Amino acid sequence: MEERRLIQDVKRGVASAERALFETHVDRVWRLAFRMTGDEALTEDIVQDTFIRAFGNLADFRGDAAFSSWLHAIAVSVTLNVLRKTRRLRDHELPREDMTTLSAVRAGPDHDLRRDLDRAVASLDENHRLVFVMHDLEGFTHEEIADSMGTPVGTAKARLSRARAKLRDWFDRGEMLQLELDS
Amino acid sequence: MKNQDLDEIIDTARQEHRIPPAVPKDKLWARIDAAREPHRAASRVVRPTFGRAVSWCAAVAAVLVLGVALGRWSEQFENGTPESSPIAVAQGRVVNGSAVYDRMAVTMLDRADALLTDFRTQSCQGDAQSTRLATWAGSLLSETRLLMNTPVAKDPEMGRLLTDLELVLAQLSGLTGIRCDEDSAWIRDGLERRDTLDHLRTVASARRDRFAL
Repeated sequence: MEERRLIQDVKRGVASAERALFETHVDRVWRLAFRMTGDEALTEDIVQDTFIRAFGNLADFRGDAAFSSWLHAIAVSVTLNVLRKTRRLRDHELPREDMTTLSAVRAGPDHDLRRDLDRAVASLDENHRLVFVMHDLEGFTHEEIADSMGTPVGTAKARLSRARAKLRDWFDRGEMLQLELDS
Repeated sequence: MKNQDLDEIIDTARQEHRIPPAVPKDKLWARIDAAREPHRAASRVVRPTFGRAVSWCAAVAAVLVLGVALGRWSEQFENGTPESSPIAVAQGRVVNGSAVYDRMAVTMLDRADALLTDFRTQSCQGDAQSTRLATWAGSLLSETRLLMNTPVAKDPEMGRLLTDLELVLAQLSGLTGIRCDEDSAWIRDGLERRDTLDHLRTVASARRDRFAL
Protein backbone atom coordinates (compact mmCIF):
# COMPACT_ATOMS: atom_id res chain seq x y z
CA MET A 1 0.00 0.00 0.00
CA GLU A 2 2.58 2.52 1.13
CA GLU A 3 4.93 1.50 -1.65
CA ARG A 4 2.30 2.33 -4.25
CA ARG A 5 2.03 5.83 -2.82
CA LEU A 6 5.78 6.20 -2.73
CA ILE A 7 5.94 5.24 -6.39
CA GLN A 8 3.34 7.89 -7.21
CA ASP A 9 5.37 10.43 -5.27
CA VAL A 10 8.55 9.50 -7.12
CA LYS A 11 6.69 10.10 -10.37
CA ARG A 12 5.84 13.57 -9.06
CA GLY A 13 9.52 14.24 -8.39
CA VAL A 14 9.53 13.95 -4.59
CA ALA A 15 13.09 13.25 -3.44
CA SER A 16 12.11 11.87 -0.04
CA ALA A 17 9.94 9.23 -1.72
CA GLU A 18 12.92 8.13 -3.81
CA ARG A 19 14.98 7.92 -0.65
CA ALA A 20 12.33 5.80 1.06
CA LEU A 21 12.20 3.34 -1.86
CA PHE A 22 15.99 3.24 -1.95
CA GLU A 23 16.19 2.48 1.79
CA THR A 24 13.62 -0.29 1.43
CA HIS A 25 15.29 -2.14 -1.43
CA VAL A 26 18.97 -1.30 -1.43
CA ASP A 27 20.11 -4.16 0.82
CA ARG A 28 18.95 -6.93 -1.46
CA VAL A 29 20.25 -5.26 -4.61
CA TRP A 30 23.58 -4.62 -2.91
CA ARG A 31 23.93 -8.23 -1.70
CA LEU A 32 23.07 -9.68 -5.09
CA ALA A 33 25.49 -7.38 -6.94
CA PHE A 34 28.32 -8.07 -4.51
CA ARG A 35 27.81 -11.83 -4.61
CA MET A 36 27.97 -11.64 -8.38
CA THR A 37 30.99 -9.35 -8.72
CA GLY A 38 32.93 -9.74 -5.46
CA ASP A 39 34.05 -6.15 -5.98
CA GLU A 40 32.82 -3.28 -3.81
CA ALA A 41 33.46 -0.52 -6.35
CA LEU A 42 31.65 -2.42 -9.10
CA THR A 43 28.81 -3.15 -6.70
CA GLU A 44 28.45 0.54 -5.90
CA ASP A 45 28.25 1.31 -9.62
CA ILE A 46 25.66 -1.40 -10.16
CA VAL A 47 23.47 -0.26 -7.26
CA GLN A 48 23.70 3.37 -8.34
CA ASP A 49 22.87 2.57 -11.95
CA THR A 50 20.03 0.26 -10.94
CA PHE A 51 18.24 2.88 -8.85
CA ILE A 52 18.84 5.71 -11.31
CA ARG A 53 17.41 3.58 -14.12
CA ALA A 54 14.51 2.46 -11.95
CA PHE A 55 13.52 5.97 -10.87
CA GLY A 56 14.02 7.30 -14.38
CA ASN A 57 11.83 4.61 -15.94
CA LEU A 58 9.19 4.40 -13.25
CA ALA A 59 6.58 5.54 -15.76
CA ASP A 60 7.05 2.11 -17.39
CA PHE A 61 6.24 0.31 -14.15
CA ARG A 62 2.61 -0.71 -14.50
CA GLY A 63 2.25 -2.32 -11.11
CA ASP A 64 1.30 -5.73 -12.52
CA ALA A 65 4.15 -7.34 -10.58
CA ALA A 66 5.79 -6.35 -7.32
CA PHE A 67 8.05 -3.32 -7.49
CA SER A 68 10.85 -5.45 -6.03
CA SER A 69 10.64 -7.89 -8.97
CA TRP A 70 10.77 -5.02 -11.44
CA LEU A 71 13.73 -3.49 -9.60
CA HIS A 72 15.56 -6.82 -9.41
CA ALA A 73 15.08 -7.31 -13.15
CA ILE A 74 16.88 -3.99 -13.67
CA ALA A 75 19.57 -5.00 -11.17
CA VAL A 76 20.11 -8.32 -12.97
CA SER A 77 20.35 -6.59 -16.34
CA VAL A 78 22.80 -3.98 -15.03
CA THR A 79 24.88 -6.63 -13.25
CA LEU A 80 25.15 -8.87 -16.30
CA ASN A 81 26.14 -5.88 -18.45
CA VAL A 82 28.81 -4.85 -15.98
CA LEU A 83 30.15 -8.41 -15.76
CA ARG A 84 30.33 -8.68 -19.54
CA LYS A 85 32.12 -5.36 -19.84
CA THR A 86 34.62 -6.17 -17.13
CA ARG A 87 35.09 -9.85 -17.94
CA ARG A 88 38.64 -9.39 -19.16
CA LEU A 89 39.57 -7.35 -16.10
CA ARG A 90 38.31 -9.79 -13.50
CA ASP A 91 41.52 -11.10 -12.06
CA HIS A 92 39.75 -12.76 -9.15
CA GLU A 93 37.78 -15.06 -11.41
CA LEU A 94 39.98 -17.62 -13.03
CA PRO A 95 39.23 -19.40 -16.28
CA ARG A 96 37.50 -22.74 -15.97
CA GLU A 97 40.48 -24.66 -17.27
CA ASP A 98 42.49 -23.56 -14.24
CA MET A 99 40.37 -25.69 -11.94
CA THR A 100 42.68 -28.70 -12.20
CA THR A 101 45.74 -26.75 -11.24
CA LEU A 102 44.03 -25.05 -8.33
CA SER A 103 42.60 -28.19 -6.82
CA ALA A 104 45.94 -29.90 -7.20
CA VAL A 105 47.60 -27.53 -4.76
CA ARG A 106 45.22 -28.04 -1.85
CA ALA A 107 46.86 -27.53 1.52
CA GLY A 108 44.31 -27.41 4.35
CA PRO A 109 40.67 -28.44 4.09
CA ASP A 110 38.92 -25.26 5.36
CA HIS A 111 41.08 -22.76 3.59
CA ASP A 112 40.94 -24.71 0.37
CA LEU A 113 37.24 -25.39 0.47
CA ARG A 114 36.60 -21.67 0.65
CA ARG A 115 39.07 -20.96 -2.12
CA ASP A 116 37.73 -23.79 -4.25
CA LEU A 117 34.20 -22.62 -3.63
CA ASP A 118 35.02 -19.18 -4.97
CA ARG A 119 36.54 -20.74 -8.02
CA ALA A 120 33.84 -23.32 -8.50
CA VAL A 121 31.13 -20.67 -8.39
CA ALA A 122 33.16 -18.40 -10.63
CA SER A 123 33.52 -21.26 -13.11
CA LEU A 124 29.78 -21.18 -13.80
CA ASP A 125 28.67 -19.10 -16.74
CA GLU A 126 26.88 -15.89 -15.79
CA ASN A 127 23.30 -17.06 -16.17
CA HIS A 128 23.86 -20.24 -14.15
CA ARG A 129 25.87 -18.36 -11.53
CA LEU A 130 23.14 -15.75 -11.26
CA VAL A 131 20.46 -18.36 -10.62
CA PHE A 132 22.66 -20.20 -8.11
CA VAL A 133 23.54 -16.98 -6.25
CA MET A 134 19.95 -15.74 -6.23
CA HIS A 135 18.38 -18.99 -5.06
CA ASP A 136 20.96 -20.84 -3.00
CA LEU A 137 22.91 -17.92 -1.53
CA GLU A 138 20.40 -15.06 -1.36
CA GLY A 139 17.13 -16.92 -0.90
CA PHE A 140 15.19 -15.61 -3.91
CA THR A 141 12.25 -17.81 -4.88
CA HIS A 142 12.03 -19.47 -8.28
CA GLU A 143 9.22 -17.05 -9.16
CA GLU A 144 11.31 -14.01 -8.21
CA ILE A 145 14.23 -15.32 -10.23
CA ALA A 146 12.02 -16.00 -13.23
CA ASP A 147 10.54 -12.48 -13.02
CA SER A 148 13.98 -10.92 -12.67
CA MET A 149 15.43 -12.82 -15.61
CA GLY A 150 12.35 -12.61 -17.80
CA THR A 151 12.12 -16.38 -18.16
CA PRO A 152 9.45 -18.97 -17.30
CA VAL A 153 9.71 -20.48 -13.81
CA GLY A 154 10.57 -23.85 -15.37
CA THR A 155 13.61 -22.33 -17.07
CA ALA A 156 14.80 -20.80 -13.81
CA LYS A 157 14.47 -24.17 -12.06
CA ALA A 158 16.28 -25.96 -14.87
CA ARG A 159 19.13 -23.45 -14.74
CA LEU A 160 19.48 -23.94 -11.00
CA SER A 161 19.55 -27.68 -11.42
CA ARG A 162 22.20 -27.36 -14.12
CA ALA A 163 24.27 -24.95 -12.00
CA ARG A 164 24.27 -27.40 -9.08
CA ALA A 165 25.23 -30.26 -11.39
CA LYS A 166 28.14 -28.24 -12.72
CA LEU A 167 29.32 -27.48 -9.19
CA ARG A 168 29.06 -31.15 -8.27
CA ASP A 169 31.12 -32.07 -11.35
CA TRP A 170 33.69 -29.44 -10.50
CA PHE A 171 34.24 -30.85 -7.01
CA ASP A 172 34.11 -34.46 -8.22
CA ARG A 173 36.89 -33.75 -10.67
CA GLY A 174 38.87 -32.09 -7.88
CA GLU A 175 38.42 -35.09 -5.60
CA MET A 176 39.53 -37.51 -8.29
CA LEU A 177 42.61 -35.43 -8.90
CA GLN A 178 43.36 -35.34 -5.18
CA LEU A 179 43.09 -39.15 -5.01
CA GLU A 180 45.51 -39.45 -7.89
CA LEU A 181 47.94 -37.10 -6.14
CA ASP A 182 47.63 -39.01 -2.83
CA SER A 183 48.33 -42.31 -4.52
CA MET B 1 29.78 -36.60 -4.73
CA LYS B 2 26.66 -37.19 -2.65
CA ASN B 3 23.74 -34.76 -2.47
CA GLN B 4 24.52 -34.29 1.22
CA ASP B 5 28.02 -33.11 0.29
CA LEU B 6 26.62 -30.66 -2.23
CA ASP B 7 24.25 -29.30 0.42
CA GLU B 8 27.22 -28.75 2.73
CA ILE B 9 29.07 -26.95 -0.02
CA ILE B 10 26.07 -24.73 -0.69
CA ASP B 11 25.78 -23.99 3.05
CA THR B 12 29.45 -23.07 3.16
CA ALA B 13 29.07 -20.92 0.06
CA ARG B 14 26.12 -19.12 1.65
CA GLN B 15 28.23 -18.29 4.69
CA GLU B 16 31.60 -17.68 3.09
CA HIS B 17 31.40 -16.95 -0.63
CA ARG B 18 31.77 -13.22 -1.23
CA ILE B 19 30.07 -12.08 1.94
CA PRO B 20 28.71 -8.61 1.15
CA PRO B 21 30.09 -5.79 3.30
CA ALA B 22 27.74 -3.28 4.95
CA VAL B 23 25.89 -1.12 2.44
CA PRO B 24 27.35 2.42 2.29
CA LYS B 25 23.84 3.86 2.09
CA ASP B 26 24.67 7.52 2.60
CA LYS B 27 27.42 7.47 0.02
CA LEU B 28 25.26 5.66 -2.51
CA TRP B 29 22.28 7.89 -1.88
CA ALA B 30 24.40 11.03 -2.30
CA ARG B 31 25.45 9.78 -5.75
CA ILE B 32 21.94 8.79 -6.77
CA ASP B 33 20.46 12.01 -5.40
CA ALA B 34 22.92 14.15 -7.34
CA ALA B 35 22.21 12.27 -10.56
CA ARG B 36 18.45 12.39 -10.06
CA GLU B 37 17.94 16.03 -9.13
CA PRO B 38 17.74 17.40 -12.71
CA HIS B 39 15.20 14.70 -13.61
CA ARG B 40 13.13 15.43 -10.52
CA ALA B 41 13.01 19.09 -11.42
CA ALA B 42 11.65 18.08 -14.81
CA SER B 43 9.03 15.86 -13.17
CA ARG B 44 7.87 18.78 -11.07
CA VAL B 45 7.00 20.81 -14.20
CA VAL B 46 3.28 20.14 -14.39
CA ARG B 47 1.21 20.15 -17.55
CA PRO B 48 -0.27 23.54 -18.23
CA THR B 49 -3.96 22.94 -17.55
CA PHE B 50 -5.91 26.07 -16.81
CA GLY B 51 -6.57 25.19 -13.17
CA ARG B 52 -2.96 24.37 -12.50
CA ALA B 53 -1.75 27.47 -14.29
CA VAL B 54 -4.01 29.58 -12.10
CA SER B 55 -2.74 27.80 -8.97
CA TRP B 56 0.87 28.31 -9.97
CA CYS B 57 0.34 31.95 -10.84
CA ALA B 58 -1.46 32.49 -7.56
CA ALA B 59 1.32 30.80 -5.64
CA VAL B 60 4.08 32.77 -7.36
CA ALA B 61 2.15 36.00 -6.94
CA ALA B 62 1.57 35.21 -3.26
CA VAL B 63 5.25 34.61 -2.69
CA LEU B 64 6.23 37.80 -4.52
CA VAL B 65 3.69 39.90 -2.63
CA LEU B 66 4.75 38.29 0.62
CA GLY B 67 8.41 38.94 -0.14
CA VAL B 68 7.83 42.61 -1.02
CA ALA B 69 5.61 43.13 2.02
CA LEU B 70 8.07 41.49 4.35
CA GLY B 71 10.89 43.44 2.76
CA ARG B 72 9.11 46.66 3.54
CA TRP B 73 8.29 45.51 7.01
CA SER B 74 11.86 44.42 7.57
CA GLU B 75 13.04 47.82 6.37
CA GLN B 76 10.79 49.60 8.83
CA PHE B 77 11.67 47.23 11.62
CA GLU B 78 15.40 47.55 11.22
CA ASN B 79 15.66 51.25 10.43
CA GLY B 80 12.87 52.45 12.69
CA THR B 81 11.39 54.43 9.82
CA PRO B 82 7.78 53.40 9.36
CA GLU B 83 7.53 55.68 6.34
CA SER B 84 10.14 53.71 4.39
CA SER B 85 8.96 53.16 0.86
CA PRO B 86 9.73 50.61 -1.80
CA ILE B 87 11.62 53.39 -3.55
CA ALA B 88 13.97 53.51 -0.57
CA VAL B 89 14.65 49.85 -1.05
CA ALA B 90 15.24 50.42 -4.74
CA GLN B 91 17.64 53.26 -3.93
CA GLY B 92 19.93 50.86 -2.15
CA ARG B 93 19.03 50.67 1.51
CA VAL B 94 20.33 47.43 2.96
CA VAL B 95 17.63 44.94 3.85
CA ASN B 96 18.56 41.95 5.96
CA GLY B 97 17.84 39.19 3.44
CA SER B 98 18.09 36.42 5.98
CA ALA B 99 15.43 38.01 8.17
CA VAL B 100 13.13 38.36 5.19
CA TYR B 101 13.47 34.71 4.31
CA ASP B 102 12.90 33.75 7.94
CA ARG B 103 9.68 35.74 8.06
CA MET B 104 8.53 34.24 4.77
CA ALA B 105 9.26 30.80 6.20
CA VAL B 106 7.28 31.47 9.38
CA THR B 107 4.33 32.80 7.38
CA MET B 108 4.40 29.75 5.13
CA LEU B 109 4.71 27.41 8.12
CA ASP B 110 1.70 29.04 9.75
CA ARG B 111 -0.33 28.47 6.60
CA ALA B 112 0.87 24.88 6.41
CA ASP B 113 -0.08 24.45 10.07
CA ALA B 114 -3.58 25.68 9.27
CA LEU B 115 -3.88 23.32 6.30
CA LEU B 116 -2.60 20.26 8.15
CA THR B 117 -4.76 20.98 11.18
CA ASP B 118 -7.77 21.38 8.93
CA PHE B 119 -6.92 18.15 7.11
CA ARG B 120 -6.29 16.23 10.32
CA THR B 121 -9.51 17.23 11.97
CA GLN B 122 -11.85 16.89 8.99
CA SER B 123 -13.15 13.70 7.51
CA CYS B 124 -13.72 13.22 3.79
CA GLN B 125 -16.79 15.14 2.71
CA GLY B 126 -16.84 14.67 -1.03
CA ASP B 127 -15.18 16.04 -4.12
CA ALA B 128 -15.52 19.71 -3.27
CA GLN B 129 -13.66 19.41 0.00
CA SER B 130 -10.94 17.22 -1.52
CA THR B 131 -10.47 19.70 -4.36
CA ARG B 132 -10.25 22.60 -1.90
CA LEU B 133 -7.59 20.81 0.15
CA ALA B 134 -5.68 19.72 -2.97
CA THR B 135 -5.64 23.28 -4.37
CA TRP B 136 -4.57 24.72 -1.01
CA ALA B 137 -1.83 22.09 -0.72
CA GLY B 138 -0.70 22.71 -4.31
CA SER B 139 -0.26 26.40 -3.59
CA LEU B 140 1.71 25.69 -0.41
CA LEU B 141 3.76 23.05 -2.22
CA SER B 142 4.94 25.70 -4.67
CA GLU B 143 5.92 28.01 -1.83
CA THR B 144 7.66 25.18 0.01
CA ARG B 145 9.73 24.34 -3.04
CA LEU B 146 10.63 27.98 -3.51
CA LEU B 147 11.73 28.12 0.13
CA MET B 148 13.79 24.97 -0.33
CA ASN B 149 15.98 26.98 -2.68
CA THR B 150 16.56 29.81 -0.21
CA PRO B 151 19.13 30.14 2.61
CA VAL B 152 16.56 29.10 5.27
CA ALA B 153 16.69 25.53 3.93
CA LYS B 154 20.40 25.37 4.81
CA ASP B 155 19.44 25.08 8.47
CA PRO B 156 19.35 21.27 8.94
CA GLU B 157 16.19 21.31 11.05
CA MET B 158 14.34 23.60 8.66
CA GLY B 159 15.65 21.62 5.70
CA ARG B 160 14.32 18.39 7.18
CA LEU B 161 10.98 19.98 7.94
CA LEU B 162 10.65 21.40 4.42
CA THR B 163 11.44 17.98 2.96
CA ASP B 164 8.76 16.37 5.14
CA LEU B 165 6.33 19.13 4.21
CA GLU B 166 7.10 18.73 0.52
CA LEU B 167 6.15 15.05 0.74
CA VAL B 168 2.90 15.55 2.62
CA LEU B 169 1.86 18.53 0.50
CA ALA B 170 2.57 16.56 -2.68
CA GLN B 171 0.38 13.78 -1.33
CA LEU B 172 -2.38 16.20 -0.35
CA SER B 173 -2.25 17.97 -3.70
CA GLY B 174 -3.12 14.66 -5.34
CA LEU B 175 -6.12 14.08 -3.09
CA THR B 176 -9.40 13.40 -4.89
CA GLY B 177 -12.89 12.40 -3.85
CA ILE B 178 -12.13 8.89 -5.10
CA ARG B 179 -10.48 6.79 -2.39
CA CYS B 180 -10.42 9.89 -0.19
CA ASP B 181 -10.81 7.92 3.05
CA GLU B 182 -8.09 5.47 2.13
CA ASP B 183 -5.68 8.15 0.87
CA SER B 184 -6.35 10.40 3.85
CA ALA B 185 -5.71 7.59 6.32
CA TRP B 186 -2.41 6.90 4.66
CA ILE B 187 -1.38 10.57 4.67
CA ARG B 188 -2.43 10.95 8.33
CA ASP B 189 -0.41 7.87 9.20
CA GLY B 190 2.66 9.45 7.58
CA LEU B 191 2.05 12.71 9.41
CA GLU B 192 1.87 10.92 12.75
CA ARG B 193 4.87 8.76 12.05
CA ARG B 194 7.08 11.68 11.10
CA ASP B 195 5.54 13.92 13.77
CA THR B 196 5.37 16.60 11.08
CA LEU B 197 2.85 18.91 12.69
CA ASP B 198 4.60 19.05 16.07
CA HIS B 199 7.93 19.51 14.34
CA LEU B 200 6.46 22.31 12.22
CA ARG B 201 5.08 24.11 15.28
CA THR B 202 8.35 23.79 17.18
CA VAL B 203 10.39 25.19 14.30
CA ALA B 204 7.91 27.99 13.60
CA SER B 205 7.72 28.94 17.25
CA ALA B 206 11.50 29.05 17.59
CA ARG B 207 11.79 31.27 14.52
CA ARG B 208 8.97 33.51 15.69
CA ASP B 209 10.59 33.98 19.10
CA ARG B 210 13.92 34.68 17.49
CA PHE B 211 12.61 37.49 15.37
CA ALA B 212 9.79 38.56 17.68
CA LEU B 213 7.28 38.27 14.91
